[in-house]
Amino acid sequence: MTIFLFTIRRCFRNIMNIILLCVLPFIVILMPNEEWTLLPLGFQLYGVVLFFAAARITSIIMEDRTKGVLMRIGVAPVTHLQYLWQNLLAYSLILIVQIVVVIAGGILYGHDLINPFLLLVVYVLFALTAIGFSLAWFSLFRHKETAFVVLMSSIMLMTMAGGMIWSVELMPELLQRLAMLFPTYWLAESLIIVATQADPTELAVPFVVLLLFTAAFLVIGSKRRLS
Amino acid sequence: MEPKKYEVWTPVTCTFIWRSLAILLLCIFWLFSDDSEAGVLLLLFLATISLMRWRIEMPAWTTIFDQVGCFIIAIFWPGAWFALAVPIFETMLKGKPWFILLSFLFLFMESQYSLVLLTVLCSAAVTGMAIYNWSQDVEAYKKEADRERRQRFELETFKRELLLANVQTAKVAELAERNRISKSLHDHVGHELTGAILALQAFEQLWKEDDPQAEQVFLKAKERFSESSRHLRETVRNMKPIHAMGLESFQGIGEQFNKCPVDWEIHGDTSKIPVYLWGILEPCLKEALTNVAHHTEATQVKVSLDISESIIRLSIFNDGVLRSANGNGIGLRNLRQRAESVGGSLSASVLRERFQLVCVLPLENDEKRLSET
Repeated sequence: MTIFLFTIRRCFRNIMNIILLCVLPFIVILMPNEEWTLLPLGFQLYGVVLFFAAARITSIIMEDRTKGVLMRIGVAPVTHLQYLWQNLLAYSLILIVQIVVVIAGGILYGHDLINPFLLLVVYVLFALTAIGFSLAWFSLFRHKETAFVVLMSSIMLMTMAGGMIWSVELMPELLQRLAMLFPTYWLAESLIIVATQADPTELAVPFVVLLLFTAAFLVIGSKRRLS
Repeated sequence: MEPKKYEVWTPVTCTFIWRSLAILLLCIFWLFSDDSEAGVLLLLFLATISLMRWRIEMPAWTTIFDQVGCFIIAIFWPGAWFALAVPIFETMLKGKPWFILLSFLFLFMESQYSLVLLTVLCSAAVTGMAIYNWSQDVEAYKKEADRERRQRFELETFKRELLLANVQTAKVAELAERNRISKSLHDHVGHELTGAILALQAFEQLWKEDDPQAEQVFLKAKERFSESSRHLRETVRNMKPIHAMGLESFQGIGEQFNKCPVDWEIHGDTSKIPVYLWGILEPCLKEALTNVAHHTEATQVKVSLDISESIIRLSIFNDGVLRSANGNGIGLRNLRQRAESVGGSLSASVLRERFQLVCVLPLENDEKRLSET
Protein backbone atom coordinates (compact mmCIF):
# COMPACT_ATOMS: atom_id res chain seq x y z
CA MET A 1 0.00 0.00 0.00
CA THR A 2 3.02 2.28 -0.32
CA ILE A 3 1.70 3.81 -3.55
CA PHE A 4 -1.70 4.40 -1.93
CA LEU A 5 -0.25 6.25 1.08
CA PHE A 6 2.17 8.18 -1.08
CA THR A 7 -0.63 9.24 -3.44
CA ILE A 8 -2.68 10.56 -0.52
CA ARG A 9 0.31 12.64 0.59
CA ARG A 10 0.95 13.86 -2.94
CA CYS A 11 -2.65 15.06 -3.25
CA PHE A 12 -2.02 17.63 -0.51
CA ARG A 13 1.36 18.92 -1.67
CA ASN A 14 -0.03 21.54 -3.98
CA ILE A 15 -1.59 24.77 -2.71
CA MET A 16 -4.31 24.63 -5.39
CA ASN A 17 -5.18 21.08 -4.34
CA ILE A 18 -5.39 22.11 -0.69
CA ILE A 19 -7.78 24.92 -1.61
CA LEU A 20 -9.94 22.58 -3.71
CA LEU A 21 -9.93 19.76 -1.18
CA CYS A 22 -9.99 21.61 2.14
CA VAL A 23 -11.14 25.21 1.68
CA LEU A 24 -13.84 25.00 -1.01
CA PRO A 25 -15.91 22.41 0.92
CA PHE A 26 -16.29 24.92 3.75
CA ILE A 27 -17.38 27.63 1.32
CA VAL A 28 -19.92 25.12 -0.01
CA ILE A 29 -21.24 24.59 3.51
CA LEU A 30 -21.30 28.29 4.28
CA MET A 31 -23.16 29.29 1.12
CA PRO A 32 -26.63 30.65 1.90
CA ASN A 33 -29.98 28.95 1.38
CA GLU A 34 -31.75 30.34 -1.66
CA GLU A 35 -35.46 30.23 -2.19
CA TRP A 36 -35.26 29.26 -5.86
CA THR A 37 -33.11 26.16 -5.41
CA LEU A 38 -34.36 22.79 -4.19
CA LEU A 39 -31.22 22.14 -2.18
CA PRO A 40 -29.03 24.76 -0.47
CA LEU A 41 -27.09 26.65 -3.16
CA GLY A 42 -23.71 25.25 -2.09
CA PHE A 43 -24.91 21.68 -2.41
CA GLN A 44 -26.45 22.42 -5.77
CA LEU A 45 -23.01 23.53 -7.01
CA TYR A 46 -20.99 21.02 -5.04
CA GLY A 47 -20.92 18.68 -8.07
CA VAL A 48 -18.82 21.24 -9.98
CA VAL A 49 -16.36 21.45 -7.07
CA LEU A 50 -16.17 17.64 -6.99
CA PHE A 51 -15.52 17.50 -10.72
CA PHE A 52 -12.70 20.05 -10.52
CA ALA A 53 -11.19 18.37 -7.46
CA ALA A 54 -11.27 14.98 -9.20
CA ALA A 55 -9.63 16.45 -12.31
CA ARG A 56 -6.98 18.15 -10.21
CA ILE A 57 -5.93 15.09 -8.20
CA THR A 58 -6.19 12.65 -11.11
CA SER A 59 -3.67 14.76 -13.00
CA ILE A 60 -1.04 13.11 -10.75
CA ILE A 61 -1.19 10.04 -13.02
CA MET A 62 -0.58 12.22 -16.06
CA GLU A 63 2.31 13.90 -14.26
CA ASP A 64 3.80 10.47 -13.55
CA ARG A 65 3.49 9.58 -17.21
CA THR A 66 5.06 12.76 -18.57
CA LYS A 67 7.90 12.75 -16.03
CA GLY A 68 8.76 9.12 -16.76
CA VAL A 69 7.75 7.81 -13.33
CA LEU A 70 5.48 5.27 -15.03
CA MET A 71 8.45 4.04 -17.05
CA ARG A 72 10.41 3.46 -13.85
CA ILE A 73 7.41 1.78 -12.24
CA GLY A 74 7.27 -0.42 -15.32
CA VAL A 75 10.62 -1.95 -14.40
CA ALA A 76 9.86 -2.07 -10.66
CA PRO A 77 8.23 -5.19 -9.15
CA VAL A 78 4.83 -3.44 -9.22
CA THR A 79 2.21 -4.25 -11.84
CA HIS A 80 0.39 -1.48 -13.67
CA LEU A 81 -2.86 -2.76 -12.14
CA GLN A 82 -1.51 -2.35 -8.60
CA TYR A 83 -0.30 1.15 -9.38
CA LEU A 84 -3.63 2.07 -10.94
CA TRP A 85 -5.98 0.71 -8.31
CA GLN A 86 -3.95 2.11 -5.41
CA ASN A 87 -4.00 5.54 -7.05
CA LEU A 88 -7.72 5.36 -7.80
CA LEU A 89 -8.45 4.13 -4.29
CA ALA A 90 -6.54 7.09 -2.85
CA TYR A 91 -8.43 9.60 -5.03
CA SER A 92 -11.79 8.00 -4.22
CA LEU A 93 -11.06 7.91 -0.52
CA ILE A 94 -10.05 11.59 -0.42
CA LEU A 95 -13.21 12.62 -2.27
CA ILE A 96 -15.46 10.35 -0.17
CA VAL A 97 -14.02 11.83 3.03
CA GLN A 98 -14.60 15.29 1.59
CA ILE A 99 -18.22 14.44 0.74
CA VAL A 100 -18.82 13.03 4.24
CA VAL A 101 -17.32 16.19 5.77
CA VAL A 102 -19.44 18.45 3.54
CA ILE A 103 -22.68 16.62 4.32
CA ALA A 104 -21.93 16.37 8.05
CA GLY A 105 -20.92 20.05 8.04
CA GLY A 106 -24.11 20.96 6.19
CA ILE A 107 -26.25 19.20 8.77
CA LEU A 108 -24.34 20.79 11.65
CA TYR A 109 -24.60 24.22 10.01
CA GLY A 110 -28.33 23.76 9.93
CA HIS A 111 -29.06 23.21 6.25
CA ASP A 112 -32.09 21.12 5.37
CA LEU A 113 -30.53 18.33 3.29
CA ILE A 114 -33.81 16.33 3.04
CA ASN A 115 -32.16 12.88 2.78
CA PRO A 116 -28.44 13.19 3.68
CA PHE A 117 -27.69 9.49 3.16
CA LEU A 118 -29.07 9.37 -0.37
CA LEU A 119 -27.31 12.65 -1.08
CA LEU A 120 -24.05 11.07 0.09
CA VAL A 121 -24.54 8.08 -2.23
CA VAL A 122 -25.32 10.38 -5.17
CA TYR A 123 -22.20 12.47 -4.60
CA VAL A 124 -19.99 9.41 -4.05
CA LEU A 125 -21.17 7.83 -7.31
CA PHE A 126 -20.62 11.09 -9.15
CA ALA A 127 -17.15 11.47 -7.62
CA LEU A 128 -16.24 8.02 -8.98
CA THR A 129 -17.54 8.98 -12.42
CA ALA A 130 -15.59 12.26 -12.28
CA ILE A 131 -12.38 10.38 -11.39
CA GLY A 132 -13.01 7.92 -14.22
CA PHE A 133 -13.72 10.73 -16.67
CA SER A 134 -10.55 12.62 -15.71
CA LEU A 135 -8.49 9.43 -15.97
CA ALA A 136 -9.85 8.71 -19.45
CA TRP A 137 -9.37 12.34 -20.46
CA PHE A 138 -5.73 12.46 -19.37
CA SER A 139 -4.98 9.18 -21.11
CA LEU A 140 -5.82 10.85 -24.44
CA PHE A 141 -3.32 13.72 -24.08
CA ARG A 142 0.44 14.04 -24.18
CA HIS A 143 0.94 17.44 -22.51
CA LYS A 144 -0.40 18.03 -19.04
CA GLU A 145 -1.08 21.75 -19.48
CA THR A 146 -3.09 21.29 -22.67
CA ALA A 147 -5.04 18.42 -21.18
CA PHE A 148 -5.81 20.40 -18.05
CA VAL A 149 -6.91 23.58 -19.79
CA VAL A 150 -9.17 21.72 -22.24
CA LEU A 151 -10.53 19.59 -19.41
CA MET A 152 -11.45 22.67 -17.36
CA SER A 153 -13.38 24.10 -20.30
CA SER A 154 -15.08 20.78 -20.96
CA ILE A 155 -16.11 20.46 -17.32
CA MET A 156 -17.64 23.93 -17.43
CA LEU A 157 -19.49 23.09 -20.63
CA MET A 158 -20.68 19.79 -19.23
CA THR A 159 -21.91 21.35 -16.01
CA MET A 160 -23.77 24.02 -17.96
CA ALA A 161 -25.20 21.58 -20.50
CA GLY A 162 -25.94 18.99 -17.83
CA GLY A 163 -28.22 21.30 -15.88
CA MET A 164 -26.09 21.74 -12.78
CA ILE A 165 -25.97 25.53 -13.02
CA TRP A 166 -29.40 26.11 -14.49
CA SER A 167 -32.36 23.88 -15.15
CA VAL A 168 -32.26 21.64 -18.24
CA GLU A 169 -35.81 22.66 -19.07
CA LEU A 170 -34.56 26.14 -20.00
CA MET A 171 -32.64 24.71 -22.95
CA PRO A 172 -33.97 23.76 -26.42
CA GLU A 173 -35.44 20.29 -26.90
CA LEU A 174 -32.47 18.87 -28.81
CA LEU A 175 -29.95 20.17 -26.27
CA GLN A 176 -32.05 18.68 -23.50
CA ARG A 177 -31.71 15.28 -25.12
CA LEU A 178 -28.01 15.84 -25.80
CA ALA A 179 -27.50 16.71 -22.12
CA MET A 180 -28.53 13.16 -21.25
CA LEU A 181 -25.29 11.93 -22.79
CA PHE A 182 -23.27 13.75 -20.10
CA PRO A 183 -22.77 12.36 -16.58
CA THR A 184 -23.52 15.81 -15.11
CA TYR A 185 -27.15 15.53 -16.26
CA TRP A 186 -27.56 12.38 -14.24
CA LEU A 187 -26.11 14.03 -11.14
CA ALA A 188 -28.56 16.91 -11.51
CA GLU A 189 -31.35 14.40 -12.11
CA SER A 190 -30.45 12.43 -8.97
CA LEU A 191 -30.26 15.63 -6.91
CA ILE A 192 -33.76 16.57 -8.11
CA ILE A 193 -35.09 13.11 -7.20
CA VAL A 194 -33.52 13.34 -3.73
CA ALA A 195 -34.63 16.95 -3.18
CA THR A 196 -38.22 16.36 -4.27
CA GLN A 197 -38.41 13.30 -2.02
CA ALA A 198 -39.56 11.14 -4.92
CA ASP A 199 -39.57 7.36 -4.76
CA PRO A 200 -35.93 6.27 -4.13
CA THR A 201 -36.32 3.49 -6.75
CA GLU A 202 -36.36 6.25 -9.35
CA LEU A 203 -32.70 6.73 -8.52
CA ALA A 204 -31.92 3.31 -10.02
CA VAL A 205 -31.62 4.57 -13.61
CA PRO A 206 -29.33 7.55 -12.81
CA PHE A 207 -27.19 5.32 -10.61
CA VAL A 208 -26.87 2.62 -13.27
CA VAL A 209 -26.04 5.27 -15.87
CA LEU A 210 -23.39 6.82 -13.61
CA LEU A 211 -21.89 3.39 -12.95
CA LEU A 212 -21.87 2.60 -16.68
CA PHE A 213 -20.16 5.93 -17.36
CA THR A 214 -17.57 5.10 -14.70
CA ALA A 215 -16.96 1.65 -16.19
CA ALA A 216 -16.61 3.01 -19.73
CA PHE A 217 -14.22 5.76 -18.63
CA LEU A 218 -12.14 3.34 -16.57
CA VAL A 219 -11.82 0.98 -19.53
CA ILE A 220 -10.42 3.84 -21.62
CA GLY A 221 -8.30 5.35 -18.86
CA SER A 222 -6.75 2.13 -17.61
CA LYS A 223 -4.90 1.54 -20.88
CA ARG A 224 -1.22 1.52 -20.11
CA ARG A 225 0.67 4.33 -21.78
CA LEU A 226 4.28 5.01 -20.97
CA SER A 227 4.97 8.17 -22.93
CA MET B 1 11.00 -0.36 -41.01
CA GLU B 2 8.34 2.23 -41.86
CA PRO B 3 4.86 0.78 -42.36
CA LYS B 4 3.52 1.20 -45.87
CA LYS B 5 0.45 3.35 -46.48
CA TYR B 6 -1.97 0.46 -46.83
CA GLU B 7 -0.60 -1.20 -43.69
CA VAL B 8 -2.45 1.38 -41.55
CA TRP B 9 -5.70 -0.32 -42.59
CA THR B 10 -5.47 -3.45 -40.51
CA PRO B 11 -8.48 -5.54 -39.40
CA VAL B 12 -8.01 -4.14 -35.88
CA THR B 13 -8.20 -0.51 -37.07
CA CYS B 14 -11.24 -1.22 -39.21
CA THR B 15 -12.99 -2.97 -36.33
CA PHE B 16 -12.28 0.04 -34.11
CA ILE B 17 -13.64 2.43 -36.75
CA TRP B 18 -16.76 0.30 -37.26
CA ARG B 19 -17.49 0.16 -33.53
CA SER B 20 -17.00 3.92 -33.08
CA LEU B 21 -19.16 4.71 -36.09
CA ALA B 22 -21.89 2.33 -34.93
CA ILE B 23 -22.07 3.91 -31.47
CA LEU B 24 -21.98 7.43 -32.96
CA LEU B 25 -24.75 6.68 -35.45
CA LEU B 26 -26.86 5.07 -32.73
CA CYS B 27 -26.34 8.19 -30.59
CA ILE B 28 -27.53 10.41 -33.44
CA PHE B 29 -30.44 8.07 -34.14
CA TRP B 30 -31.43 8.18 -30.47
CA LEU B 31 -31.02 11.97 -30.38
CA PHE B 32 -33.63 12.42 -33.09
CA SER B 33 -36.05 9.76 -31.83
CA ASP B 34 -38.59 10.36 -29.11
CA ASP B 35 -37.20 8.30 -26.29
CA SER B 36 -35.86 9.37 -22.93
CA GLU B 37 -33.82 7.28 -20.55
CA ALA B 38 -33.91 3.72 -21.83
CA GLY B 39 -31.95 4.60 -24.98
CA VAL B 40 -29.17 6.23 -22.95
CA LEU B 41 -28.87 3.10 -20.86
CA LEU B 42 -28.57 0.91 -23.93
CA LEU B 43 -26.10 3.24 -25.64
CA LEU B 44 -23.92 3.40 -22.56
CA PHE B 45 -24.09 -0.36 -22.09
CA LEU B 46 -23.11 -1.00 -25.72
CA ALA B 47 -20.35 1.62 -25.57
CA THR B 48 -18.92 0.10 -22.39
CA ILE B 49 -18.99 -3.46 -23.68
CA SER B 50 -17.49 -2.36 -27.03
CA LEU B 51 -14.69 -0.59 -25.17
CA MET B 52 -14.10 -3.75 -23.16
CA ARG B 53 -13.91 -5.76 -26.39
CA TRP B 54 -11.36 -3.25 -27.63
CA ARG B 55 -9.25 -3.69 -24.50
CA ILE B 56 -9.60 -7.42 -23.82
CA GLU B 57 -10.37 -10.52 -25.85
CA MET B 58 -13.95 -11.47 -25.06
CA PRO B 59 -15.53 -14.76 -26.22
CA ALA B 60 -18.36 -14.78 -28.78
CA TRP B 61 -21.01 -15.89 -26.27
CA THR B 62 -20.74 -12.52 -24.47
CA THR B 63 -22.69 -11.02 -27.39
CA ILE B 64 -25.76 -12.70 -25.86
CA PHE B 65 -25.68 -9.98 -23.16
CA ASP B 66 -25.78 -7.26 -25.83
CA GLN B 67 -28.64 -9.00 -27.61
CA VAL B 68 -30.66 -9.45 -24.41
CA GLY B 69 -29.99 -5.78 -23.56
CA CYS B 70 -31.34 -4.74 -26.95
CA PHE B 71 -34.49 -6.93 -26.56
CA ILE B 72 -35.25 -5.46 -23.13
CA ILE B 73 -34.71 -1.84 -24.20
CA ALA B 74 -36.71 -2.47 -27.40
CA ILE B 75 -39.80 -2.73 -25.20
CA PHE B 76 -39.32 0.96 -24.22
CA TRP B 77 -37.59 2.24 -27.34
CA PRO B 78 -38.28 0.48 -30.68
CA GLY B 79 -35.11 2.01 -32.13
CA ALA B 80 -33.17 -0.48 -30.00
CA TRP B 81 -33.75 -3.10 -32.72
CA PHE B 82 -31.18 -1.21 -34.81
CA ALA B 83 -28.70 -1.56 -31.94
CA LEU B 84 -28.71 -5.32 -32.66
CA ALA B 85 -26.25 -4.47 -35.44
CA VAL B 86 -23.52 -4.23 -32.78
CA PRO B 87 -23.82 -7.77 -31.35
CA ILE B 88 -24.40 -9.20 -34.85
CA PHE B 89 -21.19 -7.57 -36.06
CA GLU B 90 -19.26 -8.82 -33.02
CA THR B 91 -20.57 -12.37 -33.46
CA MET B 92 -19.57 -12.49 -37.12
CA LEU B 93 -16.21 -10.94 -36.21
CA LYS B 94 -15.52 -13.97 -34.03
CA GLY B 95 -16.55 -16.33 -36.84
CA LYS B 96 -19.37 -17.86 -34.81
CA PRO B 97 -22.57 -16.94 -36.65
CA TRP B 98 -24.85 -19.29 -34.70
CA PHE B 99 -25.00 -16.80 -31.80
CA ILE B 100 -27.05 -14.39 -33.94
CA LEU B 101 -29.84 -16.96 -34.29
CA LEU B 102 -31.22 -15.58 -31.01
CA SER B 103 -31.58 -12.11 -32.56
CA PHE B 104 -33.34 -13.40 -35.64
CA LEU B 105 -35.63 -15.53 -33.47
CA PHE B 106 -36.70 -12.44 -31.51
CA LEU B 107 -37.04 -10.37 -34.68
CA PHE B 108 -39.31 -13.07 -36.06
CA MET B 109 -41.33 -13.30 -32.85
CA GLU B 110 -41.76 -9.53 -32.65
CA SER B 111 -42.57 -9.37 -36.39
CA GLN B 112 -39.84 -6.84 -37.13
CA TYR B 113 -39.67 -7.08 -40.92
CA SER B 114 -38.72 -3.49 -41.69
CA LEU B 115 -36.55 -3.45 -44.81
CA VAL B 116 -34.28 -0.74 -43.40
CA LEU B 117 -33.73 -2.71 -40.20
CA LEU B 118 -32.97 -5.95 -42.07
CA THR B 119 -30.59 -4.09 -44.41
CA VAL B 120 -28.71 -2.55 -41.48
CA LEU B 121 -28.42 -5.90 -39.68
CA CYS B 122 -27.36 -7.78 -42.81
CA SER B 123 -24.74 -5.20 -43.71
CA ALA B 124 -23.37 -5.39 -40.14
CA ALA B 125 -23.18 -9.17 -40.46
CA VAL B 126 -21.45 -9.02 -43.85
CA THR B 127 -18.95 -6.42 -42.64
CA GLY B 128 -18.18 -8.50 -39.56
CA MET B 129 -17.69 -11.60 -41.70
CA ALA B 130 -15.45 -9.74 -44.16
CA ILE B 131 -13.23 -8.41 -41.38
CA TYR B 132 -13.10 -11.88 -39.79
CA ASN B 133 -11.94 -13.47 -43.06
CA TRP B 134 -9.49 -10.66 -43.62
CA SER B 135 -7.93 -11.13 -40.17
CA GLN B 136 -7.74 -14.90 -40.76
CA ASP B 137 -5.89 -14.25 -44.04
CA VAL B 138 -3.51 -11.82 -42.38
CA GLU B 139 -2.82 -14.39 -39.67
CA ALA B 140 -2.14 -17.09 -42.26
CA TYR B 141 0.24 -14.80 -44.19
CA LYS B 142 2.07 -13.92 -41.01
CA LYS B 143 2.56 -17.60 -40.18
CA GLU B 144 3.70 -18.31 -43.73
CA ALA B 145 6.18 -15.43 -43.61
CA ASP B 146 7.52 -16.62 -40.26
CA ARG B 147 7.97 -20.14 -41.57
CA GLU B 148 9.78 -18.93 -44.67
CA ARG B 149 12.02 -16.71 -42.60
CA ARG B 150 12.93 -19.63 -40.35
CA GLN B 151 13.64 -21.89 -43.31
CA ARG B 152 15.83 -19.24 -44.92
CA PHE B 153 17.74 -18.84 -41.68
CA GLU B 154 18.25 -22.61 -41.42
CA LEU B 155 19.44 -22.78 -45.03
CA GLU B 156 21.92 -19.98 -44.51
CA THR B 157 23.29 -21.66 -41.39
CA PHE B 158 23.56 -24.93 -43.28
CA LYS B 159 25.34 -23.22 -46.15
CA ARG B 160 27.81 -21.55 -43.79
CA GLU B 161 28.57 -24.90 -42.19
CA LEU B 162 29.05 -26.51 -45.61
CA LEU B 163 31.47 -23.79 -46.69
CA LEU B 164 33.44 -24.23 -43.49
CA ALA B 165 33.48 -27.98 -44.01
CA ASN B 166 34.71 -27.38 -47.56
CA VAL B 167 37.69 -25.37 -46.36
CA GLN B 168 38.50 -27.91 -43.69
CA THR B 169 38.29 -30.75 -46.22
CA ALA B 170 40.71 -28.91 -48.51
CA LYS B 171 43.16 -28.46 -45.66
CA VAL B 172 42.87 -32.10 -44.57
CA ALA B 173 43.29 -33.27 -48.19
CA GLU B 174 46.46 -31.24 -48.52
CA LEU B 175 47.89 -32.71 -45.34
CA ALA B 176 46.92 -36.22 -46.43
CA GLU B 177 48.66 -35.64 -49.74
CA ARG B 178 51.81 -34.45 -48.01
CA ASN B 179 51.67 -37.50 -45.82
CA ARG B 180 51.35 -39.75 -48.87
CA ILE B 181 54.30 -38.10 -50.59
CA SER B 182 56.48 -38.30 -47.51
CA LYS B 183 55.49 -41.96 -47.05
CA SER B 184 56.19 -42.75 -50.68
CA LEU B 185 59.60 -41.05 -50.56
CA HIS B 186 60.47 -42.82 -47.32
CA ASP B 187 59.27 -46.29 -48.33
CA HIS B 188 60.57 -46.46 -51.89
CA VAL B 189 63.07 -43.75 -52.81
CA GLY B 190 64.63 -43.61 -49.32
CA HIS B 191 64.85 -47.36 -49.05
CA GLU B 192 66.53 -47.76 -52.46
CA LEU B 193 68.91 -44.86 -51.85
CA THR B 194 70.01 -46.30 -48.47
CA GLY B 195 70.57 -49.68 -50.19
CA ALA B 196 72.56 -47.99 -52.94
CA ILE B 197 74.72 -46.08 -50.44
CA LEU B 198 75.42 -49.30 -48.50
CA ALA B 199 76.31 -51.06 -51.77
CA LEU B 200 78.63 -48.18 -52.70
CA GLN B 201 80.37 -48.40 -49.32
CA ALA B 202 80.80 -52.19 -49.83
CA PHE B 203 82.12 -51.55 -53.34
CA GLU B 204 84.62 -49.01 -51.98
CA GLN B 205 85.95 -51.59 -49.51
CA LEU B 206 86.14 -54.38 -52.13
CA TRP B 207 87.67 -52.05 -54.68
CA LYS B 208 90.44 -51.10 -52.21
CA GLU B 209 91.11 -54.83 -51.59
CA ASP B 210 91.00 -55.54 -55.36
CA ASP B 211 88.32 -58.09 -54.83
CA PRO B 212 86.83 -59.49 -58.09
CA GLN B 213 83.28 -59.14 -56.52
CA ALA B 214 83.67 -55.35 -56.58
CA GLU B 215 82.30 -55.02 -60.08
CA GLN B 216 79.21 -57.03 -59.21
CA VAL B 217 78.54 -54.86 -56.14
CA PHE B 218 79.02 -51.74 -58.23
CA LEU B 219 76.42 -52.94 -60.73
CA LYS B 220 73.99 -53.63 -57.89
CA ALA B 221 74.48 -50.13 -56.50
CA LYS B 222 73.89 -48.66 -59.95
CA GLU B 223 70.75 -50.73 -60.33
CA ARG B 224 69.51 -49.44 -56.95
CA PHE B 225 70.19 -45.83 -57.97
CA SER B 226 68.22 -46.26 -61.18
CA GLU B 227 65.42 -47.91 -59.16
CA SER B 228 65.28 -44.97 -56.74
CA SER B 229 65.36 -42.55 -59.63
CA ARG B 230 62.41 -44.36 -61.18
CA HIS B 231 60.47 -44.25 -57.88
CA LEU B 232 61.18 -40.53 -57.57
CA ARG B 233 59.90 -39.95 -61.11
CA GLU B 234 56.75 -41.93 -60.39
CA THR B 235 56.07 -40.06 -57.15
CA VAL B 236 56.52 -36.74 -58.92
CA ARG B 237 54.27 -37.83 -61.77
CA ASN B 238 51.56 -38.92 -59.31
CA MET B 239 51.77 -35.54 -57.56
CA LYS B 240 51.19 -33.57 -60.71
CA PRO B 241 47.46 -32.74 -61.06
CA ILE B 242 45.65 -33.50 -64.30
CA HIS B 243 43.94 -30.08 -64.37
CA ALA B 244 45.80 -26.81 -64.32
CA MET B 245 45.71 -25.20 -60.87
CA GLY B 246 46.66 -21.87 -59.39
CA LEU B 247 47.74 -18.85 -61.36
CA GLU B 248 47.66 -20.65 -64.68
CA SER B 249 44.02 -21.55 -64.35
CA PHE B 250 43.26 -18.12 -62.83
CA GLN B 251 44.68 -16.26 -65.78
CA GLY B 252 42.98 -18.75 -68.12
CA ILE B 253 39.60 -17.41 -66.95
CA GLY B 254 40.64 -13.91 -67.99
CA GLU B 255 41.89 -15.06 -71.36
CA GLN B 256 38.56 -16.69 -72.16
CA PHE B 257 36.81 -13.35 -71.55
CA ASN B 258 36.54 -11.55 -74.87
CA LYS B 259 34.16 -8.64 -74.31
CA CYS B 260 36.96 -6.22 -73.51
CA PRO B 261 40.68 -6.42 -72.71
CA VAL B 262 41.68 -7.59 -69.24
CA ASP B 263 44.78 -5.96 -67.68
CA TRP B 264 46.67 -8.03 -65.14
CA GLU B 265 48.75 -6.83 -62.24
CA ILE B 266 50.16 -9.57 -60.06
CA HIS B 267 52.50 -8.85 -57.17
CA GLY B 268 53.93 -11.35 -54.73
CA ASP B 269 54.49 -15.08 -54.65
CA THR B 270 51.40 -16.88 -56.01
CA SER B 271 52.74 -20.25 -54.88
CA LYS B 272 51.96 -19.21 -51.30
CA ILE B 273 48.25 -19.34 -52.03
CA PRO B 274 46.74 -22.59 -50.78
CA VAL B 275 44.34 -24.52 -52.98
CA TYR B 276 41.22 -23.70 -50.92
CA LEU B 277 41.85 -19.96 -51.40
CA TRP B 278 42.20 -20.43 -55.18
CA GLY B 279 38.76 -22.04 -54.81
CA ILE B 280 37.43 -18.64 -53.69
CA LEU B 281 39.52 -16.34 -55.89
CA GLU B 282 38.53 -18.11 -59.10
CA PRO B 283 34.72 -17.86 -58.55
CA CYS B 284 35.27 -14.20 -57.58
CA LEU B 285 36.89 -13.44 -60.90
CA LYS B 286 34.29 -15.48 -62.80
CA GLU B 287 31.39 -13.67 -61.07
CA ALA B 288 32.96 -10.27 -61.66
CA LEU B 289 33.54 -10.96 -65.34
CA THR B 290 30.01 -12.36 -65.73
CA ASN B 291 28.62 -9.18 -64.16
CA VAL B 292 30.73 -7.08 -66.50
CA ALA B 293 29.33 -9.01 -69.46
CA HIS B 294 25.70 -8.74 -68.29
CA HIS B 295 25.33 -5.36 -66.66
CA THR B 296 27.93 -3.04 -68.14
CA GLU B 297 29.27 -1.59 -71.30
CA ALA B 298 32.82 -1.76 -70.02
CA THR B 299 35.80 -0.76 -72.13
CA GLN B 300 38.40 -2.15 -69.77
CA VAL B 301 38.74 -4.51 -66.84
CA LYS B 302 41.66 -4.34 -64.44
CA VAL B 303 42.48 -7.33 -62.28
CA SER B 304 45.10 -6.92 -59.61
CA LEU B 305 46.27 -9.65 -57.26
CA ASP B 306 48.56 -8.76 -54.37
CA ILE B 307 50.02 -11.43 -52.18
CA SER B 308 51.68 -10.17 -49.02
CA GLU B 309 52.97 -12.03 -45.96
CA SER B 310 49.59 -12.37 -44.35
CA ILE B 311 46.85 -11.39 -46.82
CA ILE B 312 45.76 -11.80 -50.42
CA ARG B 313 43.95 -8.89 -52.02
CA LEU B 314 42.10 -9.37 -55.26
CA SER B 315 40.68 -6.25 -56.87
CA ILE B 316 38.59 -6.29 -60.03
CA PHE B 317 37.77 -2.91 -61.52
CA ASN B 318 35.66 -2.02 -64.54
CA ASP B 319 34.00 1.05 -66.03
CA GLY B 320 30.72 1.57 -67.91
CA VAL B 321 28.21 0.44 -65.28
CA LEU B 322 24.73 0.69 -66.82
CA ARG B 323 22.19 0.04 -64.09
CA SER B 324 22.54 0.92 -60.47
CA ALA B 325 24.29 -1.93 -58.72
CA ASN B 326 24.39 -2.17 -54.97
CA GLY B 327 26.66 -5.15 -54.55
CA ASN B 328 23.97 -7.22 -52.88
CA GLY B 329 23.11 -9.68 -55.64
CA ILE B 330 22.83 -13.40 -54.97
CA GLY B 331 26.17 -14.18 -56.63
CA LEU B 332 28.06 -11.59 -54.64
CA ARG B 333 26.27 -12.59 -51.44
CA ASN B 334 27.35 -16.20 -51.92
CA LEU B 335 30.93 -15.10 -52.58
CA ARG B 336 30.88 -12.88 -49.52
CA GLN B 337 29.77 -15.83 -47.42
CA ARG B 338 32.53 -18.00 -48.86
CA ALA B 339 35.11 -15.29 -48.17
CA GLU B 340 33.79 -14.88 -44.63
CA SER B 341 33.96 -18.63 -44.05
CA VAL B 342 37.77 -18.43 -44.33
CA GLY B 343 37.94 -15.22 -42.28
CA GLY B 344 38.11 -12.83 -45.23
CA SER B 345 35.82 -10.16 -46.63
CA LEU B 346 34.35 -9.03 -49.92
CA SER B 347 33.17 -5.55 -50.76
CA ALA B 348 31.64 -4.02 -53.85
CA SER B 349 31.36 -0.33 -54.60
CA VAL B 350 29.97 1.76 -57.43
CA LEU B 351 31.31 5.24 -58.06
CA ARG B 352 30.53 7.28 -61.17
CA GLU B 353 29.72 4.33 -63.40
CA ARG B 354 32.76 2.46 -62.16
CA PHE B 355 32.52 -0.75 -60.31
CA GLN B 356 35.13 -2.22 -58.03
CA LEU B 357 35.07 -5.57 -56.33
CA VAL B 358 37.65 -6.18 -53.63
CA CYS B 359 38.21 -9.52 -51.99
CA VAL B 360 40.63 -9.76 -49.09
CA LEU B 361 41.59 -13.19 -47.75
CA PRO B 362 43.91 -13.98 -44.85
CA LEU B 363 46.94 -16.09 -45.65
CA GLU B 364 47.93 -18.57 -43.00
CA ASN B 365 51.56 -19.53 -42.52
CA ASP B 366 52.39 -23.16 -43.08
CA GLU B 367 53.93 -23.50 -39.63
CA LYS B 368 50.87 -22.00 -38.01
CA ARG B 369 48.52 -24.23 -39.99
CA LEU B 370 50.48 -27.33 -39.17
CA SER B 371 50.56 -26.46 -35.48
CA GLU B 372 46.80 -25.87 -35.54
CA THR B 373 46.01 -29.21 -37.12
